[in-house]
Amino acid sequence: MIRGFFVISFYLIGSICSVAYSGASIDSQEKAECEKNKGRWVTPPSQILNREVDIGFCVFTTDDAGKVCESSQQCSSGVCTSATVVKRGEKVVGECFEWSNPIGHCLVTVENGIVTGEICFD
Amino acid sequence: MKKLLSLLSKSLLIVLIFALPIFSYSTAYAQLNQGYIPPILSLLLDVDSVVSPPPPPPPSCLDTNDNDNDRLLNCFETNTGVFVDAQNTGTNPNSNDTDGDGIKDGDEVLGTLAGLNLPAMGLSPLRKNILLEYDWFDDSNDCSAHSHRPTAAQINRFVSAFANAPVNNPDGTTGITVINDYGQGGVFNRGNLINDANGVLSGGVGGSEFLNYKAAHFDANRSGYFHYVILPHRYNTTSGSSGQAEIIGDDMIVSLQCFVNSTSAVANTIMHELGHNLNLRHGGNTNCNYKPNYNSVMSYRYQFPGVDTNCDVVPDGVLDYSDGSNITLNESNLNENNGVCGAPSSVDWNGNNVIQSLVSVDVNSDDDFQNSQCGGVLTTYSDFDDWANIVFSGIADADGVTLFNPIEIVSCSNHPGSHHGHAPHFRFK
Repeated sequence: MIRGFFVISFYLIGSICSVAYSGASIDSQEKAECEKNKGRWVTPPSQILNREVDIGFCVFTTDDAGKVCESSQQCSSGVCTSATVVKRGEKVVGECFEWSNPIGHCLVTVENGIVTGEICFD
Repeated sequence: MKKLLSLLSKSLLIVLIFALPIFSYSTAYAQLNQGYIPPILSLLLDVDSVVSPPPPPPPSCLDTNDNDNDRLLNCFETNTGVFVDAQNTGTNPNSNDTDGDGIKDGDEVLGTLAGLNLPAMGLSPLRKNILLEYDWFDDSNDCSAHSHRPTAAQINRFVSAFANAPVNNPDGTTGITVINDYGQGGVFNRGNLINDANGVLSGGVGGSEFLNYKAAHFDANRSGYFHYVILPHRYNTTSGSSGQAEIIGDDMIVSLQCFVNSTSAVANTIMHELGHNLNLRHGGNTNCNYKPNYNSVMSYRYQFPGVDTNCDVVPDGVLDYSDGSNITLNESNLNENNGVCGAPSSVDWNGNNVIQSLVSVDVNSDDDFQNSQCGGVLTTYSDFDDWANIVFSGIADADGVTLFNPIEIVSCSNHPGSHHGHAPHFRFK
C-alpha cells in the first residue's frame, strides 16, 4: 500500500516536472539544434516583453550570402546591402545579406542598384 | 434703371477700394515669400490649412532685409528669445532655424508655403519640435481583433520623455515638444486607418507597399516636416520584429503584433524607432548593442523594460535616451566598485558575490555577432549622450534626397558561436 502510494506520487511528481520541463525546453532544444547547425539564436526585442529570453528563432547563413544583387527580392534574406561607405541615391553593386533574418542589424539597403538608405531592423 | 446703375457703380467702387490694396499686398508678399499663397487662394486651391499671411513691415521697420532667407524680415526677428507675435518673433535674424529643430523660423511662425499650418499645431521657433503622423492597421492576426492605432496614453508616455529632455532651447526652456497626429481631431486629422488586406505590410520601410500607403495617406505638404509611422501587425517577417526605421530619415514601422495594449511597449518602440530617424543606434553612436553603461531605450537591454535609474544595471521602467553620464567600461579591467555610475554604486560583473577591484568579463553579451559589432570579446564601452547628439535633419529626407554616411559596415562572415544574443544577468550589490 505504502509502496503503491510512493509509486503513484513519484509518477505524478514526475509528470508535473516533465510537463514543466518540456514546456520550458522547447526553445532550448531548438536553440541547441540551431547552434549545432551553426545557426545563431536570436531573441527579438518584442519577445523580451515576455521576459522569456530563450524565446526566439534561428538565423542561419543563407546560400546566396554575398551574391551580387540589385534589389532585396533577389536575396533569400530579403536584404540587398552594400559593404562600402556610400551615399543615398548612389549607384552601387549590392550583395545579399548573409543571415536569413536581419533583426538586430542596421544595414545599407539597395533597391534597383541604388542605395535607398540605412535601415535598422528591430 | 438709373438708380440700379448708380447702385452697381457704387458697389464696384467699394470693391475696388478694398480689393486693390489686398491684391497689391498679395503680390508684394508673394515676391518676398517666394510664391506664398494668401489664405483666400489657399482655400480656393484646396490647401488643407489656412496659414497666416506674413505681416507687412511697419513704418518703424528699419531693416527690411531677410538675411537668413527664412521669410521673416530682419526687423521682425528681434533675437530676444521671446516670441510675441509675427512682428516680434524673438528669433535670430542670422539663423533660419533659431531653435535648430530642422524647421525654418518662417515656417514655424507663418506656416509653410504649401499651406501647412504649423503655428496652429503648436510649433514655436524658439523651442525644438518633432512632428509625427501615424497610420495604422486593424486586424485579428495571432489574437482577437485589435487595432494598432496608438492610444493617447501611449503617445503621452513618450511625449513626456521628450518634454523632460535635458535639451536647452533659445526661449530658456528645456525639453523637446513632440507633436503627434494619430487622427485625434482638430488640425490633427490626417492620421488614419489603412485598410490592408491581411494586416501584414509587405516589405519594409522603403518597400513598395510602404511607399504606396505613404503616397495615399501622407499629405505631400507634410514631407520635410513630419516623420511618418505605419503601425501594421507585422511586416514581412515571422520573427516577431518590433519595427524598423531609417537612420537619419523620416520613415519608420512599429509592428508590435499582439502587444498593442501595452502602453510601455508601444511608447518605447515609437521612441526607439524615432531614435533611429534621429541618428541614434543600438549603442548610441555605434551598432554595439546591450552595453550596460548605455542607459537608453535605443539599447535592446532597455527598449522594453525601460532604463536603469539607480545604477544597478537593472531596468526600472523609465523611458529615456541616455544623457551620456555613465563611466566607461573596460572589460579587461573592470573595477566592480565603480559599477556604471562610479563608486559607491557597485556591480558584481562576474557574479561571484564578491566586489572586486579588478575583473575581466564580457559584460554585454557572449554572442559572437554582438562581439563583432562591439570590436571584440573584451573591449571598451562608452556611454553616449543621445540627447546632445540627435540629428533633426532626417525630416528633409524626402525619401531619397538626404546624403548620409553610414558608420562602419560590419561583415559577419564568421559563423556565430554557441550563444544567443540576450544580455547576461548580473548580480549587484
